[in-house]
This record gives sequence, structure tokens and C-alpha cells, in this order.
Amino acid sequence: MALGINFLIMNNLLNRTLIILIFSSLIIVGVTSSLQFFWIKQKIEKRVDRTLKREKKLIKEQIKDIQPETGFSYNTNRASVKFISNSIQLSNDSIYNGIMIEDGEKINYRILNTFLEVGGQNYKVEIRKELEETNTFIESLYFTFLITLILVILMFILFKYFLLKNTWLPFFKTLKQLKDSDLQNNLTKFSETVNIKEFNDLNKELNEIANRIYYEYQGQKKFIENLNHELMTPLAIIKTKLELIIQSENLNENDLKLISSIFDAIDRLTKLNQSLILISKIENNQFEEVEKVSIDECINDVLNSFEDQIRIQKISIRKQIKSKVILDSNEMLMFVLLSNLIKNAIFHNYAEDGIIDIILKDDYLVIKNTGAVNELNQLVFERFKTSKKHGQSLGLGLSIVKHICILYKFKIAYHQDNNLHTVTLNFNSSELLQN
Amino acid sequence: MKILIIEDDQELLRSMLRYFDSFGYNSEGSKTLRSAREKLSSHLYDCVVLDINLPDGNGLSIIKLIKDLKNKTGILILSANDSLDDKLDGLELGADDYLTKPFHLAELHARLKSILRRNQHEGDNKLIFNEIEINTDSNDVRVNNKLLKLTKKEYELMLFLITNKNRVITKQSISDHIWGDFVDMYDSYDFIYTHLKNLRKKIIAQGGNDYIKTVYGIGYKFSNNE
Repeated sequence: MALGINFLIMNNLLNRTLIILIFSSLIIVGVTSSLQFFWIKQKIEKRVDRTLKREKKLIKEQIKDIQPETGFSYNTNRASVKFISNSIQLSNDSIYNGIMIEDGEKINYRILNTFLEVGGQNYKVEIRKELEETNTFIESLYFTFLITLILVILMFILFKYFLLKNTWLPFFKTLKQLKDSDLQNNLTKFSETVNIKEFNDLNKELNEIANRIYYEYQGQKKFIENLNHELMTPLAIIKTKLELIIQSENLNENDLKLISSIFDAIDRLTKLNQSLILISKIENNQFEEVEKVSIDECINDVLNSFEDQIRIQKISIRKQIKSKVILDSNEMLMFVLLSNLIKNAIFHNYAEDGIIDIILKDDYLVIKNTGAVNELNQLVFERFKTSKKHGQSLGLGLSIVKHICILYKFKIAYHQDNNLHTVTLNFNSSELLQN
Repeated sequence: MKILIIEDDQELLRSMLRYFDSFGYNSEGSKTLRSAREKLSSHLYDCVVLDINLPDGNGLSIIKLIKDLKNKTGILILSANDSLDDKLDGLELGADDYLTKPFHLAELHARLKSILRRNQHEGDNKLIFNEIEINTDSNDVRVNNKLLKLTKKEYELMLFLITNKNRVITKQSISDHIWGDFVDMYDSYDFIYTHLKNLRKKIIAQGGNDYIKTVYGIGYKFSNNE
């Protein structure tokens, strides 16, 4: 059953080949068998017709011998002779196929219609010859063709499995390897000793590409890491020197204001750096160790850290939180993930009297918040994309969320219904995040 | 307090030494592992500030050395790399705290004081500023011997300000201290203002003076004089 469905629907390389082979063999066998059928039929009919004509001569002789009286006629299975009036115009011979019913059985006949003039008398003569033998012969011919066809198709199917197991095997191996491997983080090696030249060439080219991808990516990664870390010390110098400068008594308000904006800029630069480092760490799988993280507790921690904002904005938090929801993950990452989502729900809420619903079940988390209509109607997971409303935001929060979701194979979905925004986080989904 | 700062960057080292000197601490600097080892074996320090990445090796080996000496020396790791491994390794080896660059001097100072309080329980659990007294063991604040009812954040603010008394403290450093690096806050300066306002009110209500001065445009200062 499954094979049959596959055969019809799947349009893969070998099935496609198989279908083409089967269709072409159907056409070839069909055309040749029809041609042969007509040819054989014609040959046989010609023979039968000759016999019929000989018989006609014979009947003529017999009538001459008998010299029947006017009105003579006879009728048997094989022929009928009928006396007709002289005034009727005689027409030419005609031969056709006919069916007669004998003992309730249909029997095919070849029939010769002719007129004879014997001794000044006209006769209408009909001579019949049974065709049953011929039909049986043609039937068995069909049967043979059918068996040949079935054998050919069976052979093609076998042929397909042979191709799959042999000729195309290296190709499918390469394909699987490509699907399974992470070219950026692992140096993938494709076999260059397969026994088919084209596939060998393919693997050679792929090896070159894989090499380039791996080394370029690793180099880039190292560069970004080093850059981020090297930036930290100069930033620390600037920050500490400024902190020493502001202790001076000789600065006026304007000086201090200028310095304060430098502090803000340093903070932004630092946070940007930290976020980028965090993302690259998640991408590099540097959070391999998993621990039992209690999501309900984590949510409460996050809410505590935002208590000031929640209080000032008079947001009502409605919780439906199942306790002891444990996920194998990294506690810090889960905190970052949840705090970004909850921060988002606060950030994009009404300035006052908004509502946030938090629903936690064993395998999903739903965060609903009131807020102005989001024109994009989707969450923006790309780096550095921020809403116009808040110039200070770095726009990395949701990008981090996305990376954490990919890491733990969580599925995140966003839905907007007028002023109600819903983010659903599915913990038990093996599907990758759709952006 | 005697502090050894092991940091290979000259300018960063200077900043830290200057800040600690202004509090009258006896602080010294080392730019290499070798000189740090020499200093540690000949002097007794209350606290060591340790940069992990040094030109002649990984600073983590210093932790072992200090632990082997079996003094009560506190260790604070300083690193440009906030990688979890370094942090865990360092804390596992026996470091007391971990601070990531770039940091505020006020924060570094507060952390060192806190390590000191934890390591040496000799009357250091009390911070006194005129009529204000903070007990860091019981986490309470008294004004004229009357207990203040403070929230956790108000208490932390109070402790941070008094630790860095007579210094201008930026609102950025207060925000980082109260909310940490993790929480990417917005409007945090307004919240600081609100918390400080409440704190002031509570101190004044118990007959205390208003020592929390606003330094316009940049932050706050906890001090006696104008």
C-alpha cells in the first residue's frame, strides 16, 4: 500500500526513472501488439477469403451438375443458395464479418455474398466460414503480450532497486551527509573513492566547498569573539577614567551631563557586545550542559526583576502557572529567554493599566499582552530591527530568543488579535522555528 | 585594607589603584603572574583582584597559590570574557566573586567590601555613618538606633551608597548594581529616583539627615557636606 502510494506521489529520481521506463514499455508493447494484431488478422482474412472464393467455384460446379429446376434453394451452416428472378440486377461479390447464433453461442463468421448465373438461371449464394480458431489464436497472442509486459515491468522494478542499491548509492550517501552535517561547525569530508566518476567529481567539489565554508565561518567566528573581548578592556579603561574624573570638584553641570551621556553610550556598547557574544555562544553550542530548570520559578524570578516597571505601568499580571514544570536546559539561557519575552510584553503594553496573561502548562507557555496594534503583525527576530517607539532598544532581544528556541527546538508563534498580542512557546516541538 | 590588583593593562590598573588609594587603602599592582606570585609569597593581602588573561599565563593558577597559603585572602576575578567556564572554574577553585569588564569602580569596591565582610567576621559587619548604622549580618539599617523598614532594593541602594560614600556615583552604576547585567532595563533611572526618594523619606522620618545628594546630570553622592 505504502509502496503504491509512494510510487504514485513521490517524484524522486528513481521513481521518476521507473515511471518513464514503465510508460515507454507500455507504449512500445501496446503499439507493436496492435500492429501485429492487425497484420495477423489481415493475413488470416486474406486466406479465408481465398478459401471462400474456391468454395464459390465449387458450388457453381455443383449447381451445374445438378441442373436444378426453377425455384431451387438450400441452406446449411456453411452456405445458402437461393434462386432469384432474372429481372434483378446482379451486384458484385461482397465479403464481410458476421455473427451467427448457434445453440445460444455467438460464433464469428467470415461471409461471402455473391450471385451466380448458371444455365440462364440466377442464384444468390452466401458462403460462410467459421473464424473461431483465428480468434483463439489472436487471444493467446494477446495473453503472451500481457505476460511479457508484466515481466518487463517487474524487471524494471527490480532494476530500480538494483540502481538504488548500487549505481546511485554514493549519490544518496552524499545527499544524506549534506542533510545531516553542520558544514559551518564541522569539517565535513565526502568520500572521494566511490566507483562512479560523476559522483566522485561531485564529492570532490563538495569537499572544496565544505572546506571553504568551515574555515571561513570559523575564522569569522574567532574574529568576532576576539574583537568582542578585546573591546572590553578599552571600554573598562574609559569607564573607570570617567568615574575618576567625575570625583573632581571642578566640573560644572554641563560637563557632568556630557560625561553621563558617555556613560550611557558605553553601557549600550557593552550590552551590544554582550548580546552578540551570547548569540555567538548559543550558535557555537557552548551551553551544552543541561540542568533541571524549573520554568515556573524562573518566570517568578523574571517577574520580580521587572516589578518596578509592572508597578509603575499598573499592569495586572494574571498567572495560570502550573508548578514544577521542569525543562532540561541552561538556567541562564532560560532566564534570558523568559525575561526577553516578558520584557516585550511589558514594553509594548499600554502606558497604564495594561494586562499580561501568563499561562504555563507542561509543554507550552503562553504570554498574552494588551498593547497597540503591531503593524508588522509578526515578531521581528532579525538582529538590529527595532520598533521606532523606543530608540534605546538594541533590537537584539528577539534575535536572542530565536537562537535559544533553535537551540532547544522550541517552537515560537506570535498571534495578534486587535489589541491583544499572544506569544506561544511550545517546548515539545521538534520542528524548527519558522521565521 | 590591603589589596593586590593583578591586571596587565597599565591604564586600567592605574584607575583601580587611584580609586582605592582615595579610600586610604594600601593597594598594589602586578602586571604579570610572576610578580604577583612574588608579592603574594612575601606579603599578606586582604583581597586580590585577579585578571584571568595575563601575558605569562592563566590567572586561575594564582587562586590555587592563594588557597595553598591558607590566608583569609579574598579573591575577585576580573575578566573580559564572561564565559561560564571561566566563572565556574574560578569559583570552584575558591574565588569569592567574579566581575566582567567593563565594570564601574564603585561596583568593584562594593564587591570587595562584601568579600571582606564575608571572609573576616571581626566587627566588619557594621557600617556606621553618623547616626546611620547598617548591620550586614542581619541586613538591617538603624537611624538613631531606630530600625528602618526598607525594601530589599532600598537596602541594597543604601549599602551601595554608604560603601562608596563621599564619591559621585553614576546612575548607570546604581542601575547595574541593583538590577544586574542580565535584565536589560528601560526607565531604570526613574526607578532609582523613586527608590532614593522613598529611602530619603524613611531616613528623615526617623530623624536622620538627608545625606543623599543629587549630583545634577550624572548621579548621586552620599556625603556629609554640601
